[in-house]
Amino acid sequence: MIELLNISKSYRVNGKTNRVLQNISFMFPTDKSIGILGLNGAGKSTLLRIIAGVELPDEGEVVKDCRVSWPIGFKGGFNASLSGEENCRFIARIYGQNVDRVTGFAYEFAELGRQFYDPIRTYSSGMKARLAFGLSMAIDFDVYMIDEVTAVGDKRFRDKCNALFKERRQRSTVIMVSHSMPTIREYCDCCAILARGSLQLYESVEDAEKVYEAL
Amino acid sequence: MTRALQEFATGLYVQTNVIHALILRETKTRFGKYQLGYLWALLEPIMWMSLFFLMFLFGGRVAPNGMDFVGFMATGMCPFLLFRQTTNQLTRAVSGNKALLFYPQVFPLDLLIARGTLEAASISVVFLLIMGGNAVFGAGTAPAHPVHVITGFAMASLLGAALGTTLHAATLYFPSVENYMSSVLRLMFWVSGIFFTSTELPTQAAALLWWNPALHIVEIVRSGWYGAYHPTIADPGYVLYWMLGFGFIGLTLERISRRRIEL
Repeated sequence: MIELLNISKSYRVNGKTNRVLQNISFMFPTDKSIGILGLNGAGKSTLLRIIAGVELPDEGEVVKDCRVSWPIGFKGGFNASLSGEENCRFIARIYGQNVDRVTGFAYEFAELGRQFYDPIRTYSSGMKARLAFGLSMAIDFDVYMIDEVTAVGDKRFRDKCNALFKERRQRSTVIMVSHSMPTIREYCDCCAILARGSLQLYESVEDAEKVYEAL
Repeated sequence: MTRALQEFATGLYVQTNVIHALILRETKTRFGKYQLGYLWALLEPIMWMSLFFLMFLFGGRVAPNGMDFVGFMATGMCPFLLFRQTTNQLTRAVSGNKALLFYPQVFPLDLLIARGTLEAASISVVFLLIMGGNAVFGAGTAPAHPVHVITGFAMASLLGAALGTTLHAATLYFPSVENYMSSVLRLMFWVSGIFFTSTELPTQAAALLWWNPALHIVEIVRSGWYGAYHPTIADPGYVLYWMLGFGFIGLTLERISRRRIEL
């Protein structure tokens, strides 16, 4: 269960206060994967970081009783001067996991070959995303928080992600942030739209699609 | 009650995992980049000491109060470097590691604790290697009061940690604080008893330098190692005021400033 209680968040840019999230109260369905749509700058990533517990809201509270992943995406999370392997070992340790198992899984899944042992700074953004995805799948989360990550990689790699996801979906769900409708359609059961600081849930992805297109 | 205890135990377990992982990772990024990275940690204080050895030699100066040169220098240099390095390392611990805050169980305070621990461990090892080598091959002795030596090192580490935590938070509001502080620390290098002892100071200078907590720390370590040496400036209680003062300010500011860290 993940519940948002009256969440507000604003940023100050050049002396002006920009209120990104405004008194959002929201109950995430436990058994459904949910996509969050929103225009660029609507605050999707901020919302995801607040749910994951990376960032604190100005007001309000996030109540959760399940294992939530870190926000999986291109940005952040890796130390550029350490290798893919060293980053995997670090993350396995902070999640109290078996280091060799997690590292092995990520190595197999990310298909980086020898470059797994090279510093992350030599990776392309696609390689980073592959590693981040493989690594997160090596750890059993109840909810995977995904920030636009699946849109990368070639068709074959995406099929592989989908297959793993399908299997994983039996025990885990996804909260995914995106502005790409096809991605959401592919992974999510229902959809919410974040616009003008508030979050609105739609029962079907199609309903959300109509509203989103009108934005 | 049991629930609260359970939550506390889980939290403690997670934080132990996090700090352990951070220390291993910091060790890699600090020393592991080059093959002889660990050697560098040892090399820095030794290079300083060699330089001052030459200066002492040409100046015709010998180690005061019946101490041997290596021991005199190491008991001054190591605690001071521990204090200074901990301050510097903690000031930059968060800004240089923002990517790690992406993991919800990693808090800024964990980054500070990990860096402080690594610094304390590495400088203590360096100190023991120098003093051990000095006792076996040189003119050194075993410590007269090991507990005093340990107290001095603990104070150097904790004072550096308290100051570093304060500076980490302060730089989130005023980035230039870091530059001012590094000037202050550079100045302190010359007035913290690395090259002199408190007993050699003229009265006026002693009255002024008495305010410098790093001088107290150095002299506590020195008198702990050399039982026959009785410094005039070595008050652990005074250092404690500084530690508690900056510790309180630092932890409070750290808490308040957390929201200002931009990911």
